Amino acid sequence: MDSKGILLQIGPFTVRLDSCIDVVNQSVNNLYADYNFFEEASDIFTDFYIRIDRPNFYRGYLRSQVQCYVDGITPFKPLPIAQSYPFFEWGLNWIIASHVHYYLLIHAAVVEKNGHVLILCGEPGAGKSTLCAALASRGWRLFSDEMAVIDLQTNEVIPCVRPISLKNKAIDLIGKLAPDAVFGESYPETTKGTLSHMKPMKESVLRGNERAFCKWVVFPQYREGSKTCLTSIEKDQTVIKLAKNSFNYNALGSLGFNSLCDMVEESHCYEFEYSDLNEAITLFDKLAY
Amino acid sequence: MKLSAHKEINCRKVGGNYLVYSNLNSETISLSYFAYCMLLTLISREMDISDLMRSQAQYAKDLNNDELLQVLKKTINELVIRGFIYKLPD
Repeated sequence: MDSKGILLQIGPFTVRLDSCIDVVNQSVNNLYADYNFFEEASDIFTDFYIRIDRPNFYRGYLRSQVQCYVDGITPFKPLPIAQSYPFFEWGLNWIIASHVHYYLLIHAAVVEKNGHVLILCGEPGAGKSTLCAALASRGWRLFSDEMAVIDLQTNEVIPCVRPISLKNKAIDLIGKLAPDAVFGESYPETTKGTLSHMKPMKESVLRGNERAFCKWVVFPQYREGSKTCLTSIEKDQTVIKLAKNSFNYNALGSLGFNSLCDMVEESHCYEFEYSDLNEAITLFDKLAY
Repeated sequence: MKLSAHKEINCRKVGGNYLVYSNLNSETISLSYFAYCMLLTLISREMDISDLMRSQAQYAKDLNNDELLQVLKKTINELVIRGFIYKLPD
């Protein structure tokens, strides 16, 4: 990668990343190895430009900090330089969530099987990324670990495949469940604890343009020692919960409301409590057949 | 006193449930069938409470007039507070 950065096609977005920090480039080359990297940047429209760089002499060199410049602005405070790569991922999350209002965006993990999409929506710490990584490592196609991107005209869910962000105990748990999975560096002492990214399966990346319709909306909750339990919930409550977890529902107005209602109308809606990932995978596999 | 629904609201049936969304305050709430029918009535035209009572009686056949009036007033109050309908001065 040269100093002008690289262009990455991530789902419907073209992202330009520019960094002079080696660990960022190495992590991207490792975790995004199966992606479409554009060599010629001149004639391709770029949706977002992210630069990960040292902020200034004092913060950058004396204090070993790093800054994330998103389309030229700095929405965050600098972080320790050891967190340079997660800073890129967080910056990308932020710019999509705060700027993309031509899709409905819901904070959720999304996977697909047999042409049907499963949306796993929940608060941070509910265990949606862990469940998403487990399903993705057992034949489900990854759409996103971070957000459901929904076409407002067709209600199709659009893949936005990126590395899965795993935290704390989930890193070992998925490492044992999926020994072939490729992980990036481990980042201790982030605001979310220890963080590591799991490389998406190659098939998910190569099929990154294949949209599908939602069939299941699930609100997972990991609870240590709990039995695997899937419970139907009413569709009105599902719409309200999804709306609360949407990044841009309020900005979209009636368009977002109607899109959400249409999607939920066609979906089965559940709450899901679990502690055993193998049981959870078996249950969702049965659901998909 | 007449009642009217704000133009910026959107009512929907989803599955066996009823929802309303307000573009004014971005609030989405779940409705009973009774409240849903009342809102649809007020979206179609403004109405005073006695007309609304006559219109809503078909959705609450097990209630007598006093009970219906109480339910109606409570529903109106909730929907006014949440910004879905408003009271017009006489």
